[in-house]
Amino acid sequence: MSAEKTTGTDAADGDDDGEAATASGAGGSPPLSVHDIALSYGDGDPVVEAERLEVPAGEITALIGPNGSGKSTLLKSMNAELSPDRGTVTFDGSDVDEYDTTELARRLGLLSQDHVAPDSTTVRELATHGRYPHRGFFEGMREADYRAVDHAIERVGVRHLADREVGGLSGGQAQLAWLAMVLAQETDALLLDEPTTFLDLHHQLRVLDAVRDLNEDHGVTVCVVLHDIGQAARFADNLIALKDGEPYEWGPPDEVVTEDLLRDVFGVDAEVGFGPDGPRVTPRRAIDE
Amino acid sequence: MASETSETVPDLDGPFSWVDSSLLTVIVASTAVVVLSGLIQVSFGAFTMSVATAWSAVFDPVVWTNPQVLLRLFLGEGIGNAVAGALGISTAAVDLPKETLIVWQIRMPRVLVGVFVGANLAVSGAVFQAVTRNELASPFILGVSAGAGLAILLTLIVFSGLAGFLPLIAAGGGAAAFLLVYAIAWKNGTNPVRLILAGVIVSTVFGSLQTGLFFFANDLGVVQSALAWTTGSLTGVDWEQVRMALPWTLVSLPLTLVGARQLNVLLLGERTARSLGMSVERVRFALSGVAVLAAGTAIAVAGIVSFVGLIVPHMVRQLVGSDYKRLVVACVFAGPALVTLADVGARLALSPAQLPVGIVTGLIGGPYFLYLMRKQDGMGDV
Repeated sequence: MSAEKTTGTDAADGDDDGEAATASGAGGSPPLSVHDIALSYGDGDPVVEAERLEVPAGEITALIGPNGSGKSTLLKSMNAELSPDRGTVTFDGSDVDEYDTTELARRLGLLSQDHVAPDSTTVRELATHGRYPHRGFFEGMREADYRAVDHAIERVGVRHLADREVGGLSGGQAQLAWLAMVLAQETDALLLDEPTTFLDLHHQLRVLDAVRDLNEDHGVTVCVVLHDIGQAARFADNLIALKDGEPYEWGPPDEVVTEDLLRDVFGVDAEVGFGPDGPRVTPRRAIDE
Repeated sequence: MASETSETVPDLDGPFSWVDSSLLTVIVASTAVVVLSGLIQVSFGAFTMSVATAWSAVFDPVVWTNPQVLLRLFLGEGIGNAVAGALGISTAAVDLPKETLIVWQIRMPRVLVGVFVGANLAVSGAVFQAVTRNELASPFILGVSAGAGLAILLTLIVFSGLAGFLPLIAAGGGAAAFLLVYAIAWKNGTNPVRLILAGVIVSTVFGSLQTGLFFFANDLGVVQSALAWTTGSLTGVDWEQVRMALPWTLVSLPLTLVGARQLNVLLLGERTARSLGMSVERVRFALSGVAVLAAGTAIAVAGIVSFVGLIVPHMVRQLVGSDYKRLVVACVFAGPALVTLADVGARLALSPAQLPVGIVTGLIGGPYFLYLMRKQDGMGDV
């Protein structure tokens, strides 16, 4: 346990040195790390096995890999939704399974993929639910709660939709509303499960921009599952590429995104060039397996 | 755009900002229906009096100016006097005119019990619909009615010595069946689908046992009594039932209102609720417990009145939306409106014979659901 704590602090220190200007606030953002875990559903074989992975503090880390490679499963373990068969996932130096659920929810937010809300919920009502972990059982909304909701709505850019019902929004607008809910939670770290899937390009960028801003302004640690490897390479500071439930490679995008990776992990023959925003991927054709 | 937001920000402040015009409409309209149904209800009975006489008896100043009369009626002779004494109100005996006595002593309880039954069932249904995230859930889908029905039949037919405790046994049977459903559905936690399936299984088995028990009933009176309980009836209720329902109602309804925010978060799906820090299983179980308490209260005084718990939340949702604070409050008013109105039908439809109110609610509920089914494509999701 003490060893893990040290790693945690080390990572946080490293971040403070590197991005001291952005990682403001008391203590900065905590890192997430994975130590020798095996994850499985029920009694089945492990779906994910990993020796060691880091989601560095104050940075954006994208999980990439083909369908079924275990990205979402790994994300679930980070949110203590899935207890590992062995090993631990630590957040700010402590095992996520040992956090009190409310305490964890105050510090670690999740935008899940399978969210539903009654159609008549307004965007503001939805964002208000993000304050749930901050309010006691009998407590009403306090000044700080209203402010957090307003900021979240503002940051995501849905002020003009605040009083509209979620049921009447487009998929992209609804996703922004959900993001506002997670941002209203005001956590130190964010987990996003495929936040851009099924959205049009405009809304994909709106989602990613809001997250990027939050990361830059408040140094919030972000771990995001992304489907589009090109998008992940442009957006994230670090990539973790998973193949069949095991990390294939992890590090900064220009080290991770290679033609070998695309061939071995994604089964795609592609050309990787280097542009000003990092690696640029041009897929050629699918490789027969 | 700017004007749109500036208009709405102010009503976020204040503890009652969530009360909107549609909710007020439901409250006012429901109250009107309850009052009107009540006035009709108290105008009929074995002792013939004109409608005007009956109504003036309801508003008889002797009743309203002597609080001890109402206290004694609601709380019973002993506690009523004690409370009146403690509050410094006179405990003197009050002489009531015959008509007033009949209306207040004999006819009023039926209206009041109808109000309690309606409010409890509607709220219970609303909670179960959120807990199971299924609009078709009701207090009775999770086995509550099957358990209560079986307990009633067992008491009447097998353990007839316990008939005096029938209300408690009925509510207890409902609660026990619900626990059984929960246990069956439990597998590293529950989920809405498993809960409903387990409810169907338990209901089917218990239903068969009930039907089986009817064969052992040796006298028609017992069968009729059993039928009245299992279809739900307000015939012959007394202040005794009002006193029985009142305290539990005062527990379950406020608890549900306090739980409204939890219910709203539960509706966002299990994963989101969890990520917001909710202990989903614990909250789900606790709120179900409150809903069983509410349903049990209704069952204990009126038997199993069908459909109210299913359709009232549904109707109300069309009007005030899915926010549970509004929905629960609207249910508290709309439930009584439906039950008291249906009870007027139950009394007058085949007059002088009286039907169990459950038959009328069933007859209203079925077609209403059919109408919804034809009208709405996405029915089933909350």
